[in-house]
Amino acid sequence: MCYPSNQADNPNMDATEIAKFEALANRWWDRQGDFKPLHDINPLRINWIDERVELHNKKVVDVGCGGGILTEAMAQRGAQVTGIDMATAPLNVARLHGLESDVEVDYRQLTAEQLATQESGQYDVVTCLEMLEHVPDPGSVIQACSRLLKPSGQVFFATINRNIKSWLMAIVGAEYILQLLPRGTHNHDKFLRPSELHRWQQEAGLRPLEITGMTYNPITGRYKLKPNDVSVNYLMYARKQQKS
Amino acid sequence: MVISSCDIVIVGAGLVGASVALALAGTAQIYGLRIVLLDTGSLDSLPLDSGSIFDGRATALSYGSRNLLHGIGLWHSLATHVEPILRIQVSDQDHFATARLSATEAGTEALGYVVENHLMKNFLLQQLRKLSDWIVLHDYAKVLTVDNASCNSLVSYKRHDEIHQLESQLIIMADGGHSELRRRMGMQSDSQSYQQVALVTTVVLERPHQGLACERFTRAGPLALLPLPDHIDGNTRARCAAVVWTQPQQRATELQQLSDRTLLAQLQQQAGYRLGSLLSLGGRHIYPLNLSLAREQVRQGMVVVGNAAHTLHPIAGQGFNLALRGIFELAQHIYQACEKGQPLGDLKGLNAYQHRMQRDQQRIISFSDRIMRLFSSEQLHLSLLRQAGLLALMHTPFAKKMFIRAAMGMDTPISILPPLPNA
Repeated sequence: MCYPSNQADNPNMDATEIAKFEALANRWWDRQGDFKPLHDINPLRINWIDERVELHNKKVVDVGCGGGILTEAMAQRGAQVTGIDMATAPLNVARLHGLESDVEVDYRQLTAEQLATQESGQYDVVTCLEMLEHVPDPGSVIQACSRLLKPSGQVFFATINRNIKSWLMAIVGAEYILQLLPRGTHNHDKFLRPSELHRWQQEAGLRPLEITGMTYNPITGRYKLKPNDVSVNYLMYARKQQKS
Repeated sequence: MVISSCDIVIVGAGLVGASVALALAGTAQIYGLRIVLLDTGSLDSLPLDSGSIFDGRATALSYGSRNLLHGIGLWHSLATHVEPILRIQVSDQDHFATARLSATEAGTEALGYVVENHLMKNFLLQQLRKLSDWIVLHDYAKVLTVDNASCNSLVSYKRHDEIHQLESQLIIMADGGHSELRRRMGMQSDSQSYQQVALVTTVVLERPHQGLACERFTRAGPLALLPLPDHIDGNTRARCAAVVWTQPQQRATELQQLSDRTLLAQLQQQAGYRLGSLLSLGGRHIYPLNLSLAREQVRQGMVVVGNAAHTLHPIAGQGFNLALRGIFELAQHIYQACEKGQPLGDLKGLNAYQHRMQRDQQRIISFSDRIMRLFSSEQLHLSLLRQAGLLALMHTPFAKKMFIRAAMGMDTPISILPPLPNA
């Protein structure tokens, strides 16, 4: 893998994590395949976001965009979207799929930290979903997201809680029993507690406004947003504070 | 390019789109809303008494749907075009058990109503033409793009070689189950084929049907005969029934190619003589049966209704009734948004609407799906279950009541919409 030379020597990324997603790239848009859960939750999370920020005509960056499932959906709602990721193959898949869907997204291979040095304070909205649990230093990504935002800009994070239940559900349940996700997709130690995410956001000059959980019912195969159950998957929404 | 604006754009003026416009008419009058209805085809209405049109497709309106239409003052004039279902007989070709349901038992004037689609569409369009102060119809309009947002959604469409841009607060997509437009917008639906086709036609009966509907489980698949209003052409009166016969997909070509005489003989054999002799057949429609449910039904400034949102198996006759409940729920949401002075396209309100509808959709989908699986199967245990079900239905007042309630749409909520301006 090679990265553009102008990038920092030590980008905030984990080579094994990147390799994992490189290998799965061709399956990204198979709605019944390895990324089915992402396709299934997409309408829920995009609606949750759109309801809060109204994406139409907003300048948005999707951090850790992968194959572009959320990224495209935001563009389809009229946002002007940039998608960034460090894995080459998923980005190529995203670009190709974008042509097929006839949506305009600017896909770039760099880290949030790198983009923040180039385009600080230029975005209305930053989304960083299901990504923090795959990087070595989530706090640094959150700092970068904050820097990318215009004053009063809004940011969304989604990740997985770290407790016995999330280990049972997200790893044992989703990867081994129900096989919703490829084995090894997640590493439980990298999951983040809402309190940790909360603290990092505050340190980055972000004011957390709202949190909601997302639950999966294995019988009906349906996902639901549940505001008071953040025990496994959850979404957080914050606003950049004026003075930061 | 012609640029104009209105409050609500409805894409598609079929039964669903036209019903949306009518459900909103009272609200439009009170709050001065302007509604534009776009359709790719002609919107000229034909005279309603044209008995010669014999295109076959009919819709069963549940008693709950009747109540909704009654609530906005539309039922009284529609009632002359519908045929009440007074009795239903459910029977199995090879077995003795027959369940009978009647309006008298249900304590209502009818168990449901049957209306021919082209008559219903004509009727709805005629009503819409009287409301031109609030509702504008644009025929031959092909929608090119939809750009939705909560305050200024933009629809661009082509009409008579001219491009129009129409700005509105809310776009209601009622453009049926196979919309290229929705596909391009990335609105996915979950869909599965039943590997079955429905043969839909009309038969002329030897004697009056007296409001009897027959649902019969034949080896080929379930067959429904629904009473239609008499067709009167000059001095001749034809007594008619609508036929919906579910068959395995492999038979599609054969059904298309059979002569009228052979098909009529097959129908007669399968249907028995509860409705007397079947004399002749109308136009034949054969279409594949799918179950589909849109994953997304609302966005900022946009909502998807009717077949565009869900298509069901026709066996339980619930598709249009479900659509109508959705339409009235949406109209009520719009009415309340107007009352509170909120933007109509606000995603929060639309999400709440969708949430309310989702339950209803799930319930009806599983109801239709269960009945379909039970009655399309030749497997012994299901066949026995079906017998037991019919017997239970016959002998258990409670089971009967529950079934009637579900099939008649008696759980349809009462709407508080303002009536049509001229009602």
